[in-house]
Amino acid sequence: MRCRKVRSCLSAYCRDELSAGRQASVKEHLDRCAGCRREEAVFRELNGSLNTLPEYHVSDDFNTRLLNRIAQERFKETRSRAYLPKRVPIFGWGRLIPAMATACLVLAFVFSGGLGILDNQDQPPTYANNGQGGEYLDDRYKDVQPDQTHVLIQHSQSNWVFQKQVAKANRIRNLMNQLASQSSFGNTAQLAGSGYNYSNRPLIMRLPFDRRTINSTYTTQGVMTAEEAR
Amino acid sequence: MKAKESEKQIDYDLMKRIQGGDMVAFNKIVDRYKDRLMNIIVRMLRSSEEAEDVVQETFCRVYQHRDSFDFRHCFSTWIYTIALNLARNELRKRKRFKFTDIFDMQGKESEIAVEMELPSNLPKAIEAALKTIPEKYQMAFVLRDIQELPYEEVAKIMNIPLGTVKSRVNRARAMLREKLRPRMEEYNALSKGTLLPVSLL
Repeated sequence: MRCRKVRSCLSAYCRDELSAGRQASVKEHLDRCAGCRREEAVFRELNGSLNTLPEYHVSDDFNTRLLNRIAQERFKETRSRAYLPKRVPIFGWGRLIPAMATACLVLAFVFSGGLGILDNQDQPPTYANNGQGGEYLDDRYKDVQPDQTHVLIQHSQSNWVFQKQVAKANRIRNLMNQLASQSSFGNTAQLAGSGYNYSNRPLIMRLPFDRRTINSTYTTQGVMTAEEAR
Repeated sequence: MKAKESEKQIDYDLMKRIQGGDMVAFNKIVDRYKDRLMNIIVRMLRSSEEAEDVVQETFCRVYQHRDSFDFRHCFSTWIYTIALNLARNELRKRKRFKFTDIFDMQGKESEIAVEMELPSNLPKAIEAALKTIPEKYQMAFVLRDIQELPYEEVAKIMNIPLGTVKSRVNRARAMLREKLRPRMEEYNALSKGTLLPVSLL
């Protein structure tokens, strides 16, 4: 082998990295060549010096800082997954469906007349002057009288305001009946002639918690049952 | 060889425990590899602070991706690969934002001072010479000759063929030899007694 070839593989030879045959060839050349032997000595010295190179170490608190950092990252990861609510897109179905349902309910409420809340204001019965020195019950009171209430009651099952009106009408009717029965009450004829028969008027009430239709007939003697009224 | 196999087995056992959530095992893995990684990364980045940051980031990545570790592969190869990729990223960042300040000048002054020192300071001369050779040869040399990793592992870490690794290691040794030739000859002459140190004259 020539010196050039031997010197190119001297570093591997010094580390025993060559094959057995190659190693023997280089050794044979080195036995004959002083220059290559000097090169071999330099390489061996270099390899020996590599063991004396300074070793670098991390700082003493490296482990602590590392574990703290990992703990912080785990905390952030846990917090983001567990505690923050899942984001719902602004225009996603998650928000659109409840909004549409709310809008439908509002529209249904508006078109149904607001369950009659704005209608039929609680107007007290008024007494009008009939021009003959007496008073009679205003016809407008008929609007809230039981004879026309069945229409409204059928369409408003839980209209507590209307029930209050009905109760008031009943009280006034009873009062009028009582007054009519008393002969000392001078205007009873006019009251009786108002065109409204306060007695024996069927009153259909539909209780909100009971779907049964109750037919009651109110008379001056008291409430009659449905069978008695027939 | 048997020692290598036992080292491998220890790493596998620790990784299994880490995957199960054992932080004591993770601490042991950190103690086993932190200085080895530091030795390599410092010589690549030439800054101990940055090297420590890279080593810390390496262990964080190891922990984050602990479940994706494939037990068919060698753990040391995996962790070295992560560390070297992070170090390369750091070097690329440096190339993008290159600052010149007085600390660079101070570094150069120390290099010159090392060259003027007596040959007995060979390790420092080797370190200084190592910094002057290109990165790919330097990395191969550090992994093979300083860390004493097998050629096959170096090839997997650097993701290059085995022949390329051997060629680069050989070239790195030759470059170092050329740079250290005057100092080595002086050192040999001193050790043989043919050359007296200046202080004795």
